[in-house]
Amino acid sequence: MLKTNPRWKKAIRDLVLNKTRTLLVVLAISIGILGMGTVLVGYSILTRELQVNYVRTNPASATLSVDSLDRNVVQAVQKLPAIRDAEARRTVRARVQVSKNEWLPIELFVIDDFQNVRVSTFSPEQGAQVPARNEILIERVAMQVIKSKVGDALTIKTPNGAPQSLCIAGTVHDPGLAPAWMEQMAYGYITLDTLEVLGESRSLNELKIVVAQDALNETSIRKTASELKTWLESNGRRVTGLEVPAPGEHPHIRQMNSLLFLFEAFGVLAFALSTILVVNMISALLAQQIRQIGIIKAIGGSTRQTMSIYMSMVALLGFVALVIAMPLTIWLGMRYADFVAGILNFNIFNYAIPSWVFATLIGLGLLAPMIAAAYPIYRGSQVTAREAMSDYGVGQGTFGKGAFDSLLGRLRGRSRPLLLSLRNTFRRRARLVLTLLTLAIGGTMLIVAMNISASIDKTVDNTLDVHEYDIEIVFNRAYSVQEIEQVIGSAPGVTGVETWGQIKALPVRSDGTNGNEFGIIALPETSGMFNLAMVDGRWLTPGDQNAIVLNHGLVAELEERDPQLRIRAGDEITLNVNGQPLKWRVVGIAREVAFMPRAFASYDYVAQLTGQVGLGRRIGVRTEKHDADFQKQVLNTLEVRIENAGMNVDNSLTLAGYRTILEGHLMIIAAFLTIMSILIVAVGGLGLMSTMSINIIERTREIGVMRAIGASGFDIMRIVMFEAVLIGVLSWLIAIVLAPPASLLIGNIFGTIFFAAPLEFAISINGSLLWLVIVIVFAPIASFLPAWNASQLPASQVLAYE
Amino acid sequence: MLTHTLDERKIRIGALDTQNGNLIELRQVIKTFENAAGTFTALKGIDLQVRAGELIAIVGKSGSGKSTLLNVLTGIDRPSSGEIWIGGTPIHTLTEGQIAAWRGRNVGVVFQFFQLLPTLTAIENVILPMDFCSAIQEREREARAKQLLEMVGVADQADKLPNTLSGGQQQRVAIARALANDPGIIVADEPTGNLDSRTADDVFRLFQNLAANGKTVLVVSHERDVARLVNRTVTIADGKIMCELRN
Repeated sequence: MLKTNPRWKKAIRDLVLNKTRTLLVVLAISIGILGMGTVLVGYSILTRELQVNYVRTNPASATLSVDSLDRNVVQAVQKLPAIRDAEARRTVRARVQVSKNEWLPIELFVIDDFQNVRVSTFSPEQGAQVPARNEILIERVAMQVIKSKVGDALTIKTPNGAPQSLCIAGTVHDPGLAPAWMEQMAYGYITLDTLEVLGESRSLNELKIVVAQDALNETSIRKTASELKTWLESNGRRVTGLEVPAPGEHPHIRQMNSLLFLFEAFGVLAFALSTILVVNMISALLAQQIRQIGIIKAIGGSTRQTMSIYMSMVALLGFVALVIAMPLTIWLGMRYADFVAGILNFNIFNYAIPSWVFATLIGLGLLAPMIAAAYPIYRGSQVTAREAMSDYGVGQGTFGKGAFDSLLGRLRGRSRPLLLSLRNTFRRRARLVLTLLTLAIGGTMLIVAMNISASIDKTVDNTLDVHEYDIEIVFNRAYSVQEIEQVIGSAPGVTGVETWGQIKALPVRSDGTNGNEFGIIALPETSGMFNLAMVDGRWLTPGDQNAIVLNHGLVAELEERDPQLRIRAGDEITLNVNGQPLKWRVVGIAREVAFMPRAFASYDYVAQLTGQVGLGRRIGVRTEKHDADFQKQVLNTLEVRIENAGMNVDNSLTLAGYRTILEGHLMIIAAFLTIMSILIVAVGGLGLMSTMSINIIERTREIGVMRAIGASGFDIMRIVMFEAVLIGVLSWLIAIVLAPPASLLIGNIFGTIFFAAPLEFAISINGSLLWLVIVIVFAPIASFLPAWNASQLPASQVLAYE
Repeated sequence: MLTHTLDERKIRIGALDTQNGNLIELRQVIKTFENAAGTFTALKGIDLQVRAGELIAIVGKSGSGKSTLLNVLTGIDRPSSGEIWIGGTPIHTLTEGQIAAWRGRNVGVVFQFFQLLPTLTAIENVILPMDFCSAIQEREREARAKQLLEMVGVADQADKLPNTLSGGQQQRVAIARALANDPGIIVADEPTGNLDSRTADDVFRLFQNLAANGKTVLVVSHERDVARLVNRTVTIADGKIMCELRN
């Protein structure tokens, strides 16, 4: 085809003739394909593999907390027609020592028969497959959290036992769990024998079931679980809790999908902007080749035939960009999938990329530039032979005839070369708009990425500021408020302590079944440690009885899991507390970002309800200083005091430590946004370079005239580079206007993905300044090459240019 | 019609040294172009002497080499061999950068299609060479440009952009621009080729005035009838000077 078809020959030769421009456009489309394709390839692998990992574990449809379970009960449950499989376990929340006086929470999964785990399975990775007495298997990611290796000894303390040393016999991979680094806790797997060693009773209390039918229907699962609860109760067992995870969904798949969608949006943007470059280039080429078009028309070429030449050119550009970008895109997409799989702790078993991904990339890579360029090509090809042949020299075009041109003409300045730059900037306004669009969007996204980082900082700051304590400690059971406050209040570095009650509640769903368990913190009337912003309604007031304030995360979770439910301040909800259904009045919804879904109620009311007057399970502690080191130092002292007082801690955290963990994880995401925005900036930069190169080609004769009337190479470079800086500064102005609303939008999406609430809005002055510095430094650099080339052209050559 | 003449009191005429009484001297100038088809010699050993204040027409058919001759004369192009002395300067030895600066001060160029920069107004087009060469004090540039525009009869168009001017008006602005740095030599490539005959006569009259006031003016044209308007006509054909006629 290429040998015989002059259309293709012309297309190829024209592209080769304008090497720099061709290279810039191919590079821009390649970057666009790379940005969009990497995320798309990653997305296609990740969504499939995450699901494969999760489904392979044969996840439990529901978990029932039962007072005691034996093999006979489990076997009887397995035989029920509605149940496909059932297995008894026990989960013990304990603590693991990671350094002197530093403990982290650990969930111990007690397995009756390691050789026969069928529900919520995990796979051995390293070392022993079955832990012996005094041995423990640790989830692979949790090994990093506790900074240990196989063979190390771990000190573990359960609620009812003394600290015991266990040997890490091996590691397992459990993709059904939220990654340990995210939860900042460890996961361990032990036998009943070891549980006994740890000081706990030798019994199992969790029944994990897989339903036989409608395994992906939450309502149906809850119905089956409720029937099972009734059956167990009729057989003398007490069921204290029910947990139904989102059926068939990895705990983090929605977050991952939303995040990938956000990244993909950036990738698509980079690609869309690269197609604008094609429009710019092809428009310039058509303007440059107007005489050639005239000749084609004069020798009998039709508009359609003329169009086909230039469409072939665009198709070639897309094809070359695809050939260059595809291998890199696939490789990067796989590495991207590896990275995300690493973060979410799952394995990629199969890197196969679905054919729809290739079809999309090839289709977009070839078609999008052609569609984008179709109109300018159509318009350029419409020119008549007479119009085309009469095109000559400098001064052609329409500059000077419009009102805006007249306005520009009235601008005065002491330097004509700078005036020339200024007015040249606005000469090809369609091209200017497209160039500004690519550059300004690049700048906007860069500023947005930095604004998002600032928003994360502000959100975390505000979140922690509204909790007016430095350390939070949860005890393994209720202790006397007086005793707690005596032990804690007198510790050095402590300036205040407040004791709270805590109960577990199960929401009663609109279909009558129980929802997942959450905690209610019971606060004294005089509490001054929570200063949460109210989304709706009010905070607790003295004298409140069955009043409850839900944090927004709890509202989001309840509403997500029960589509019928809409919770507003003033609504009444039913909660099962200690097996008793109770009506509660939702007096308010509070914004509490990055904290577990939970609720708040009056201490007096809850204490009376549970018969725990004068007892507390949770404390907030204020310290003299608020830095991470001081908080940790005080916590260590408190741990020792609590132990000496014969009390047991279930969990503890310092707010400064929590901030570090929180920011560390969120900043990884913000860094990704920055990387994606840099891709868009790169396309914008190529756009500016391409535009300046096109402008110079179009103005070659003008440059010759300037050389003929005495301009030096430096004069020419100055004019060109100043024009580039002007475009850059204009793009900066547009970007700083666009960035705030874009940041607000992306902050809302980002916040909703991670916190079920928008991020606090923040503007990073550094972001705006950085973009200004980038345009001032890089605009001259981007235009240097075309400017240098222009300054080096001999006057005779440029005057002879057509 | 041109109503103004060059005013010696207002416009300073630049002076160039002469060599053997000649302002311009070309010695055995050869210009060869290389292209895919092979070698093409556009100028085949040109010898030419021009005295200060002469108004010379270089005439010839299309492709005869007259524009090439003009280009090497102004330093826009370089000779392949031979020497070009202008005002005592061997311009064939200058670098591209030196030539640009030299040309800005000593030679004013007028193009066939005017070649005004479309984004600058008429007066700004005239000031631009002064900005490039800095031969005129900055504070004097605007006043000088106005005088030049007045001289060529388009002072009332000073603040207009080129696209709003007629062809004749644009060519007058282009002549004013050529005079911006008060060069001793004016070269014009087909300056009337794009003008109607009446305007073309006006432009030529302006060249005559410039020559009468000491400028050396070289005009390239393919029209033989310009001979009646100049002091000397040099006819070029096939890269060689075929004849020289004096009026």
